[in-house]
Amino acid sequence: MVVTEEKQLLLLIRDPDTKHKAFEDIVRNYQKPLYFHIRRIVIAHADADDVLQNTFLKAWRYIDNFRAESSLKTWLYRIATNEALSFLNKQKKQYHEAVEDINNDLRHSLDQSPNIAGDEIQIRLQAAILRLPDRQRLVFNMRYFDDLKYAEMAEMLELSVGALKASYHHAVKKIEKYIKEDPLIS
Amino acid sequence: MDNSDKKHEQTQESELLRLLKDKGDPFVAPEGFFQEQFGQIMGQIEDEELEVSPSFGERQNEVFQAPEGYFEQFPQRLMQQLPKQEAKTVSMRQYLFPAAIAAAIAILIAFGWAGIKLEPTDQFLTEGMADFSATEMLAILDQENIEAELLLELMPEGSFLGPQSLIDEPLDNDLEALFDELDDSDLESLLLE
Repeated sequence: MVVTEEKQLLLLIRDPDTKHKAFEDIVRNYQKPLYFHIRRIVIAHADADDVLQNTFLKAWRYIDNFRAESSLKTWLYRIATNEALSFLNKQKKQYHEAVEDINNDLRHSLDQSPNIAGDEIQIRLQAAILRLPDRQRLVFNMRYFDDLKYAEMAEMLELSVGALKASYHHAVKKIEKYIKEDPLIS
Repeated sequence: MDNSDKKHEQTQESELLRLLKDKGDPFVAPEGFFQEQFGQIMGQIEDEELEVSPSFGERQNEVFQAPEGYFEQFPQRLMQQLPKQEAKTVSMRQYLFPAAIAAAIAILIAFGWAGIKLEPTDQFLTEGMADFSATEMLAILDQENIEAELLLELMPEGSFLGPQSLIDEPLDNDLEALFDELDDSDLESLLLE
């Protein structure tokens, strides 16, 4: 979304008469990128749907306090990221599963999910990504798939640009290694 | 050391330095060093377009898919969960209230004003009630306490005065507070009676 459009939407949000319509426009504009951002974290569509709804509901609750110090996109991504990670943490606590077990479940979900397109190699790439720790996976997805700049990611994740670059670099190396180890590829 | 000596020393150094310069740089870099260094440095320079590892091939399109129609339906599903926008209501009270006040006053007058406790010394009591305008009557009502049980007698059945406790305690003399209890249909029916 262009900055001026974003500013106009925020003005409309401030007006009680136009708030609902303006928020609906925000939902329409951001639902897709946020959905896929979340989906890559939680994998299953049903879970992504829940998290996406929670994201927008939270945005609705706090949008009056949004001071536009960051862009709306950054703000929404931050909420979506926190909601997705909270969802994973809740699963871990609920099922007392270790990180690795959860990621195994996610890989299984990847194989079983009906809403998966792409050929075998793309699915294996996703499986390799799932072997990464959550934060590293997040950084990789945001850089590789979402094409976000490091400066944007730094704002969203509240990490330094240097830390993000290092994290991405390590993620790339690990994924290359996992793919090479994959018997389907080698 | 005086200034002339300093100046001489500087001149002497310059000449020396000039001589050394002609001899060239004493340090030598290995052959091909700078070409190699340049290549390494340029390779390390952050180029965000080239950052993706080539082993992933062409950046893929989205592997994940949403069910058909999901994005068309999602906004509506979400908006239904939000608190309903408070409709901007135009209160009929602003139109009916003065008329309702007049109607209430007319009712009270019609029932003869009986049972309402008035201070004998009130100046309005010395005049005929029928001569008073609605505004004047309102002023009278504002000044006096109207007991709830008397109002109950005057109001039609099923009126807004519900709780028994209202009967036991005298009501405020603020009629507006009473009318705040009424919704628009109650006000309308009051006006039409």
